[in-house]
Amino acid sequence: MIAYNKEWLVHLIIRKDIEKAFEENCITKAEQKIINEKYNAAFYTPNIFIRIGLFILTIIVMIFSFGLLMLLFMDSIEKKAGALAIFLSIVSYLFLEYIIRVKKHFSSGVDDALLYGSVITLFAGISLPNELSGLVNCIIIFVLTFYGSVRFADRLMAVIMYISLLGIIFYSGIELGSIGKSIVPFIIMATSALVYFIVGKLKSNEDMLHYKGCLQMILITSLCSIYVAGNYFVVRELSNNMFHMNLQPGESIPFGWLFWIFTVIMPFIYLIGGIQRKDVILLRVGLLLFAAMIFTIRYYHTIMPAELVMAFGGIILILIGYGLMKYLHEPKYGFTYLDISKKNTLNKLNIESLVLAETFAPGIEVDRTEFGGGDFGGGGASGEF
Amino acid sequence: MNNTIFLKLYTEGLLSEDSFEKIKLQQTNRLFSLHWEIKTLLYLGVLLLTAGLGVLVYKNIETIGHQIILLFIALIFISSFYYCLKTKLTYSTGRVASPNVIFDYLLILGCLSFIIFIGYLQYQYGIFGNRYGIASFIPMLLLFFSAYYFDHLGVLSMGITNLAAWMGITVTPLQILKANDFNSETIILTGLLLGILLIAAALLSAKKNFKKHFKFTYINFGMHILFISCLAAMFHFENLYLIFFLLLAGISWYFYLKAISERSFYFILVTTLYAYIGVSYLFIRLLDLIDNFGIASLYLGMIYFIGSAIGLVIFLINMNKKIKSHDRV
Repeated sequence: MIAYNKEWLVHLIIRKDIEKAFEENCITKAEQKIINEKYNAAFYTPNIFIRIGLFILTIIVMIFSFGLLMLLFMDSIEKKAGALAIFLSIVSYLFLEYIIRVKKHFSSGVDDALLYGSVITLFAGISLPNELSGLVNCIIIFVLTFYGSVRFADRLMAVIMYISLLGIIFYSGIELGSIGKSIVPFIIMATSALVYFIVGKLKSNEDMLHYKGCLQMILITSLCSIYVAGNYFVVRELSNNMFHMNLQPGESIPFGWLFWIFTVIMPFIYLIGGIQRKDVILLRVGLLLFAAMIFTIRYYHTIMPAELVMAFGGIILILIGYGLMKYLHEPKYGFTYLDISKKNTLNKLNIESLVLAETFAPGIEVDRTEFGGGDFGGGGASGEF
Repeated sequence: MNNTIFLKLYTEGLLSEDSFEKIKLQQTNRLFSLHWEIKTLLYLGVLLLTAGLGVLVYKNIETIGHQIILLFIALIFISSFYYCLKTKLTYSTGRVASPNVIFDYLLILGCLSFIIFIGYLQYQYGIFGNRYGIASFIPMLLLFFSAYYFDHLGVLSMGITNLAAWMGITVTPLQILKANDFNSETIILTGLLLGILLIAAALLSAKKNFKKHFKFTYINFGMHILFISCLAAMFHFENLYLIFFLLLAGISWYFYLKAISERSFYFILVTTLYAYIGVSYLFIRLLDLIDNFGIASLYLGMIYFIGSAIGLVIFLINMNKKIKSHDRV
């Protein structure tokens, strides 16, 4: 099933665990060396920056190859564009299999780019010339990304596969008429919850070892989709736009109160669950959805001016952060505020300081006669409200 | 981590009894770290608070409330700096660790609220008259001073973006291409100057052994500004583009050597991509010269991009090998 050398994939997992154990001073350098020698993996996996470069360059090659093909068949381009895209997709796919089998590429940037490129061009080649419906498009995407996930264990493919599955349910739901339309959010919520529990079980299955990353991503996405499907803002605006309900501002949707309860309660359930089970995914998704909840409430109910909410919210967040840090000064109930993983490749680039420089952009500029207040501390943030 | 893996390695005799016990102990005592969650909370808190205060102070200018707000801002930066001064570790010219997470963010809060304060004083009372340069010069000084005194890379980055703003350009990562008018000759030349300045600062920090770990931040900003300004100059100065191409080649060569000596994959990637843009531009100019963008030059262009990109793929793969084999680990 999987295109990469399975034995080496297992070895990679072992090497990674051993690396971590070494960092935590549990094993000696000599032990690590012996284990690494026994469990070798001769994949071609370059450094992450080289991978990014190879990815960009492979995409460039694909785009200009397509351009060259179009040039060659310029006279009848409108009829042949779809066929050319499918042709390019097949060539890319064959090349993808070749570099994996012969050149042993694994997460090299080239294989990622060829996989995505070949899926996108195949989809475009089938779908664009025929003007297919949303449902058919979702089915095609599902089939393609399902194959991509199973064969190449690619995480992005897995996420898109899951989303296209929800798309299939959504489009088939609304074709059932008015009853279908009103129960679609609940069906999607139920499906997401079902997927969450099934995938959660599958994740610890030994047979699914190679798909752990994919399953993890589906798990995160399903947690989000449970919430999104029941979020008041999403349900109201989507039904308003898609089903032409012509709601006036202030008007609510049928069962609006139910969605409001859901919008407010779910983030708390995630957060509490995350803390109780020490589940980092639940906790972080919960934090994210907490922010989504605030935005949803503020969108419909303007109790205070935005800047006051921001200032007070900021103070509250800083106090919570400070309180947590003080509280966890000594580890309590297995929680600590200290950073336990020491190694992080991204830290080499000082990503954190770049984010700071980006969001706290300078407020005072040279030739400005009027100092726009919103720019202080980052105009980007104030624009979101 | 997977316990069955360690058990397997242990039974194969690859792990000693001692190591296996250590791993088991580590697994049972594993703590759950809330480090990044707390950091994110603090970051968002500072972001929201300063953005909110920035708007509040201007919106309430005619009311009595604004003096209270001003007082509040002053209180924030005084207490933030007080906390930082109290908890900071002893200053040294080398790297000084931050005492805790809250220190990092309170320092940023202190700097930002001070900047808001200064900006407001200028807006309302015009304390610097019409010399707007000073109104951005003082915050910049404060940022650089705090970055060095408290040893904070984030504040240093903010200082660099402020320095650029003082010189008249925007260098925040996502805005650098959008916010600047790279058709303006002043901006291009300022960019070149700033880039050289930052790289000089990086080299000096390393040479004088004065906050050596700031080197990367300086170089990173300097490198991108220099490359982008140089490319902009190539596109803009119609008649001088060859001169700027030579400059680009020189800069690329400098960073190429730097990447190899420092074994940095990041520098290799950045240098390769910028140089590629420059060379491709030159090639397109050449096509224009021969064929005036006819059908033949279209074919040539497509073939050029396919061929050159494949060539660069091979180049990067080789560079990866070269840098890796230099790896001492």
